[in-house]
Amino acid sequence: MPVITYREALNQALREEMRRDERVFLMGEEVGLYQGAYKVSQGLLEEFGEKRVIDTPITEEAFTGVGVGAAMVGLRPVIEMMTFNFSIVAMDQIVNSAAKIRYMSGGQFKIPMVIRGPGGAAHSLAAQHSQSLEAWFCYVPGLKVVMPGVPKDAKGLLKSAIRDDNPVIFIEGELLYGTKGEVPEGEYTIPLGKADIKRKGSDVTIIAYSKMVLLAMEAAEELAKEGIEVEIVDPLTLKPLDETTILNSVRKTNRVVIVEEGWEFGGFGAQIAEIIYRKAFDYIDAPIERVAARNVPMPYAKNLEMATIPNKARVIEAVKKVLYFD
Amino acid sequence: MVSKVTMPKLSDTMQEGVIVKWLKKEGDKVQSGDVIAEIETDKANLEMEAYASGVLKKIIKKEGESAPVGELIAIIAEPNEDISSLLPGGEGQKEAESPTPRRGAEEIEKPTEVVETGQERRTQVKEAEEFGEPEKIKEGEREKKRYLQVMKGGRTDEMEAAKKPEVSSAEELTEMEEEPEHIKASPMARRMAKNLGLDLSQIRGSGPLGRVIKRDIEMFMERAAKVPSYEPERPPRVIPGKIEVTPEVPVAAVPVEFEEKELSMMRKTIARRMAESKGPVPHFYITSEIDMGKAIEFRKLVNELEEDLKISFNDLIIKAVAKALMKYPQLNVSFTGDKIRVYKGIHIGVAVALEDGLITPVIRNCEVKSLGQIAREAKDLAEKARSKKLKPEEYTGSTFTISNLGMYDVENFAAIINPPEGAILAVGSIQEKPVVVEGQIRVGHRMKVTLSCDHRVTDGATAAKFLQELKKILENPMTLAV
Repeated sequence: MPVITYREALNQALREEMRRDERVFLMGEEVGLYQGAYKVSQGLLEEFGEKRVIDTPITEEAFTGVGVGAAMVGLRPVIEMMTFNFSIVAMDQIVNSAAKIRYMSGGQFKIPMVIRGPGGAAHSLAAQHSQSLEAWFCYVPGLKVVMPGVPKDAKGLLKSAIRDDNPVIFIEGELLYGTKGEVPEGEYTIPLGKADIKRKGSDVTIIAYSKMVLLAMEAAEELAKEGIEVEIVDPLTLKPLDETTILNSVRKTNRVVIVEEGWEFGGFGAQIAEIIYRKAFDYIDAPIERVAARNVPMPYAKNLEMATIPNKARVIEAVKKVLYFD
Repeated sequence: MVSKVTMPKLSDTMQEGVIVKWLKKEGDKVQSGDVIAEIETDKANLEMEAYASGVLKKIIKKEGESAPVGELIAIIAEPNEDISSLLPGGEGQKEAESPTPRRGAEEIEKPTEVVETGQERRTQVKEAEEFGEPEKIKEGEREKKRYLQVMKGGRTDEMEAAKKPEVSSAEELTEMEEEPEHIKASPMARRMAKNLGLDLSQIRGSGPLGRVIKRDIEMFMERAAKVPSYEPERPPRVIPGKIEVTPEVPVAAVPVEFEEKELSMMRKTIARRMAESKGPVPHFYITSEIDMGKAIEFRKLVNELEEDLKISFNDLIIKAVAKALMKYPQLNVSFTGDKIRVYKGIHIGVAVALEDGLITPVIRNCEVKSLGQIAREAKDLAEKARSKKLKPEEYTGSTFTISNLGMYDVENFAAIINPPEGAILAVGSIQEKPVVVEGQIRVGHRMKVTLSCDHRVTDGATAAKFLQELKKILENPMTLAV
């Protein structure tokens, strides 16, 4: 299998879907001439022209609204947020338009729309540009939320997201774009709403998504040296969530650590924990541990940033805690 | 440090115990590990060790008194330590009866460490001050305690009175508010215990604050597997409802004179276990007559050869049963509700009559033991049984039982299965009777055996084949020597 970057995988997905369906178009800041702020849309303007790769002014609310309108009349927009921090100004269009119109029109309008871009911290981008907002989107009925951590998943899931008839929030990672991984050749998709077991193990289940999958893998490698077999479940799609895969793993290992880059309080991991407590209560041998960002605005100083977001040591500590290794 | 001495659970079937003798007096120095009392359990008289050091401050249950497992029977403390709060009518009680207004935050008590002896559960003072304002939380907890006490009709529990260490972490509060007898266990551990029919209070928790977790149950079962004595007594989930062991005693129209005798521990256990067997276990019975002529000669021969070894008929039967079970392992089983557990080893329980009941010491792994080994072991165990010296691992964990009433001139009888076993063999006397051999009437030696089987695990044909095999072995006893 070819090894490519996460960025290239997304680029392939966009290109393949734009070739496959001429209703698909890409719109956002710097997606055309500049080839994307993170070069995800490299070469797309050249291949598909200005009608389908549209540079916008710095107007997130406006171009998200244009996307909703385009979707209502039958196109399949891919709206790029330079980062998801900027989606905050487009929240009204996302929450009140994209997520609601299918419901409020009694199904007369579908919104086949993808809003994509990077989320999370990316080294000294400070408080306003380092946020993990997935929990916000998961909260809103009518949105699907996808957060792939490796190139293969990024490609397969973006293709499924584009083909989905509902608004999909597709959150990438600035620090993930350069990471590499095996990606199958040729056409494939990964279904939304299906989790992936990234590593099999019997002692403890780590549930992690996006960048945190890579962190969990590192921690698992180290724990394996101590004879601790970690199972890593990557939900891939946060909403709708694949509860079955998660619960099956929990029933096997009886111990759970949830790792997320977002804030701990009200974070998405709390939702996963709630589901586990409710549906696998009799299989839990230790209180669920969560590893998440400290409840503070992201510091600019790199050392403080590292102290805020989850790191390997904290994941290992949490695993040992649920295993009662004191 | 004040330590509560509670009635220990000394056998897996024990529910209460009688203090036969205190080996220390009040005021005596006690070291952890010292034998402090002799306890009569349902099976035997056993020694009880102290789990704490200090002075035996107070004996609460006198000699001859009984107490359920877990009940306070004595207190070990430092010579000048105040234990009044632990005693009935102590300080704790008063506090409960007259709930006083909130105490000021400055009156924070220093938690006293209490170690429960019998149960080995240890509560530790830990994890405090996670939330900066321990005073406030303690205050709140105290309020809740009082509230609980009032809700319980003003009665204070021993644990309350014992000033259970106050844990200030808000996370632990919810756990601490529960009934003092509440056993901390993870949901997983609870589920496992329930499925295995284990009593959580008998399992030492290795998690925080003594929480029983999965590994504790696994370790418990591992130990139990080595000494099968801890095997779940009853197959879980098969007993429909509660088995009533105290039937209504009819009141006679004419006054009848009687004397009521207290049930001994053993009698109580027998009553309970037999009802547990006959109630839910569908018994069926199958009888066979065995020609013991050759067995009599064989036994004579063997006993003449070996001077210091006397083999009984029962030993022959044990060995023969073991051999037959090797061929028909379908009868060396337990019904577990949704599965049939086939035991790898043949552990034969031999019923030994005692003055006030009976007990079944177990000869383990009869499949690998020679007749001589079985004979020696059976003799040794029977002696121990009669002197009530059997250890729990010597009378539990059998997979098949033999009940022999041959010495009482009994032609034939049917025995009740010893749960959770799948079958029991009842052995009658060897009787001289006229038999027809090759068309001639002669004097023969015949023994009747009746196999009681659990119909949930086996059927008549299998039982019959087993008896055929047993008959074949006993009628050709030379096979017992190989």
